[in-house]
Amino acid sequence: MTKAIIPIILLFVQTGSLFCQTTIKGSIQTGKNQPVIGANIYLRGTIEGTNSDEQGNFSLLTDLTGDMTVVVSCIGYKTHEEPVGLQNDTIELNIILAENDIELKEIVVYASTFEAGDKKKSVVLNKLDMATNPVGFGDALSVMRTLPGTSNAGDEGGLFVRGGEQNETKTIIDGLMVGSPYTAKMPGVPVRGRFSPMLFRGTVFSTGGYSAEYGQALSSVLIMNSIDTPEKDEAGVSLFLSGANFIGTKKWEKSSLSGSTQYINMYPSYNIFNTNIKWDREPESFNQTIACRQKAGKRGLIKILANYSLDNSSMYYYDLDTRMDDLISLNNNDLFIVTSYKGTIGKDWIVSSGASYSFDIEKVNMDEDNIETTKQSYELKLTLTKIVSKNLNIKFGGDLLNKDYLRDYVPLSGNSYEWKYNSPVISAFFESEIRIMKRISTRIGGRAESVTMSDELYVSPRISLAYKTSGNSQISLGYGNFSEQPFSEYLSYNNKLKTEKSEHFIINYQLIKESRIFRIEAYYKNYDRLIKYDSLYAIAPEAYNNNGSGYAKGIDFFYRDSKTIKNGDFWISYSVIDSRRNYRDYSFTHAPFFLATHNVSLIYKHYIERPESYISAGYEFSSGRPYIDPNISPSEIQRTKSYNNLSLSIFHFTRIFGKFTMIYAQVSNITGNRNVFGYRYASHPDESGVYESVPVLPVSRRSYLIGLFVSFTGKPEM
Amino acid sequence: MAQRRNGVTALRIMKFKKINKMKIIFFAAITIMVSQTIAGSDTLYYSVLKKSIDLAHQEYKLDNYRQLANCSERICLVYKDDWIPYYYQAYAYINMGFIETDESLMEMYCDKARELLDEAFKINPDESEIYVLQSMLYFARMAISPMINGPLYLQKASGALDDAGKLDPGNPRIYYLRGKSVMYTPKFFGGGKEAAIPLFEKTLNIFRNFKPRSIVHPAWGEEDASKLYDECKAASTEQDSDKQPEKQE
Repeated sequence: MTKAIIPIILLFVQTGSLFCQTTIKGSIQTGKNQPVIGANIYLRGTIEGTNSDEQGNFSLLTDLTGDMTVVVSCIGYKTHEEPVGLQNDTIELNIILAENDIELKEIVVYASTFEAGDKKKSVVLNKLDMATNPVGFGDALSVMRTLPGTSNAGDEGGLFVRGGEQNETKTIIDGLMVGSPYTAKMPGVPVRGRFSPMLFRGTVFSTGGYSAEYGQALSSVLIMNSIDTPEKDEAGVSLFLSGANFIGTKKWEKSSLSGSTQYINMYPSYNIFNTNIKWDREPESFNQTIACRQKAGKRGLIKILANYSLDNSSMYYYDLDTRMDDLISLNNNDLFIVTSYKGTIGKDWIVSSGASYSFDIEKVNMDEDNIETTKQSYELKLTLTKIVSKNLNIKFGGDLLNKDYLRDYVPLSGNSYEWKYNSPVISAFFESEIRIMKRISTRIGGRAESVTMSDELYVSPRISLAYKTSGNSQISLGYGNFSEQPFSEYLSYNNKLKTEKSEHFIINYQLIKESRIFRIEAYYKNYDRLIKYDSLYAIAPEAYNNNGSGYAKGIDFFYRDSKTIKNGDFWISYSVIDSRRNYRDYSFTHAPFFLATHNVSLIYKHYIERPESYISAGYEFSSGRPYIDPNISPSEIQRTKSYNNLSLSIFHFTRIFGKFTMIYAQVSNITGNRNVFGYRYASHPDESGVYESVPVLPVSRRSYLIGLFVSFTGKPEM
Repeated sequence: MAQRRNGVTALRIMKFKKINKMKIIFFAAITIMVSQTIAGSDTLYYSVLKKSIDLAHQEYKLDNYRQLANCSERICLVYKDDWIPYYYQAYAYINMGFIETDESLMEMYCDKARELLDEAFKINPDESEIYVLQSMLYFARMAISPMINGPLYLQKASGALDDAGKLDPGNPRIYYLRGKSVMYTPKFFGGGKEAAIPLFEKTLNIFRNFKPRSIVHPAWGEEDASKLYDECKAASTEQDSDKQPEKQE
């Protein structure tokens, strides 16, 4: 109470006695002689004060006498204090205010990371961008392919990052690695992600130099975090040309449950519109996701996420050697369950732990030969983070990842074969984020991995450094060693294969203002101990070795702007890459077949008020992809013509029976370009000495999608 | 209420008596102690703050809110345990954020407002009005770049209003902001002028019988709510007659 009394007395005194007054007047200016408008000028301990005017001038009349302090404060400037002796006269004060230092809000090393969907300021893409993504039909992850550093490999699907293959990018859900993040592969049919980013709170896509927390990935990690607490109850149904999807969320006081059920059958679509594939049975898939969360204690949260998916399809595939159509059938069942706990111990320890189990069985039948591949894995992980101070935090943890692999080959006649392995990998990591100086922060860490099967123990250092050039911009550097066990099929043929290695060097500049983002990044990546094999003896263990190598170097640009055009928003990505590899069954060192030198994607979205709609257009360009034409030369690279795809999507929002409804239509390749991804050649020349070939084409030259989404609970969560 | 007024009146009368300064202090101290025991310590700055609030509400311009920010800042520094001056300082910065067009300034005002709200929450975590203001802050952030931040902050803003409603369902500003948000939300997210009408009706109904707890407790929103209500009404009738709607704002 006494604290309050004194100032009140002072207030009282100054307004009470009118016979003795002091005038304090003057001006407030910046160091550059500009007036500071609206500065707060007051006597400390009183509520008596005034504001500076348009010219920075002020005048303050007070009844107080004695020694006091004049305080000048203004947002954006350092507070200035000036002792004064008040003696019933006029005091002239001309004060220069120093500008605030650039504020470094948190230690974030940005190099090579893209955040999407998270409710943070650094996001590059939000959920609406994912929902209204015009490119990449039926693959929710495809929005990531509109970011730089990725290659458009339309016949493969998945993420090909900076000259890396699809399996060099690992998908992490709630901290744990997903066993089979993509659907099973059929020749010429791109794989799709099993998990829709829409079900997640946020996605971080790192195209290199990522945290020591993650291992077993040579190129990239895609980190997806499931929703902690849904905002509200939800129920909705989506009906589209080739399937249906139901979603629902129920929320309780301390827990919640969400589910998504999806069925897709491409039969109507491929029968109405064109397809370049001769289907015996059009692709059919079923996908069920269940997520539940339970609050544990004051700040703890337990989450369980389970996903089951089933895929069936069969097609006729032209065999260039037998010159007959082979009937290939695929049946794939996949289950992934992850449970995670995140909470605090004491004041500044954060603990997160998790366990996952993944089971995937893929049955391929090719002209009555059966190949059945069973992949099982589990992972246990514990991470502890200690926030030591505003400028220092440390994080460390351990991880056990155990993989079981079994591949059964049962031919119509003759012996059956079986390949299998069991490979536990034990890892420990440490990482610290330190703000060294006001503008410089760094992340230093390392990861140790022990691979029992190949009897290896190695340490991978990871370092990054960020320098704030201004409040909105920074330069980052990154370096790291990365390792990954070879592709499971190769490993099953030869269990002794060593871990593949890569090394990343990255330099990045970025400028973010809330509605404009600009990034430019250059990198160099070195590959070592890649798997090489001799295709003639492809199943003999000695045909496989670690003698492959390669490199990739390039520059990535990204610019997003939602300011310049009213109601419009666009982003553009451009990547240029030079990469050479000698791995797999390559007979000489050349650019990998999946890789185009130039990749461009441009996405434009426009909001229309009436009729209320979003229109989004996407243009993808890739320069020609390499292939080898044995008719010209077996040791020379040819390039396909460039890939062009202009896609358009329209989303119209309306109400049907009072329910929020979104009607959408998408068309890809509007201009009808004849895109070719490469060519397949017969392994032997025909009678006239020519190697017969067929082009590798997109599944459809042009795709169409129409559908509607109805929400029974009002606006959907975005 | 009556007792509090008496305390203030007593002080005012004394102010006009030109007597010995020491005596004033002595009497003031006693009077204050008395008035504090009766009415709490807040009342003295009320008239100063009230004047500043009224000035801010006269015209929606930067200077008016800047002086409110400064005035409430001065009060904050003296009355450290009172949420109201923090509330008004945050309120002023949020409004400055809405008025300002320079992105980096908008951001700066919003960051400042967030700090102030954190302080206010520390003092009174169960005050519905602070949640309302937090929601308003999210709207201000959203305004910085609606295309990118819109969906994210809309959700947060709505969550803050839910919290405000749990603490005091009779707070009219909840429905005013909800209505305003629905009004400017694309139909895609369940918004539109028509959808906002019932919310504005609700807020205006509450305002009709609304009595602020004191002269400085939050009382804003009624005038704007009724303006926006009229606008929504006009738009919905126009839509019925299938005419082009007038431009928003």
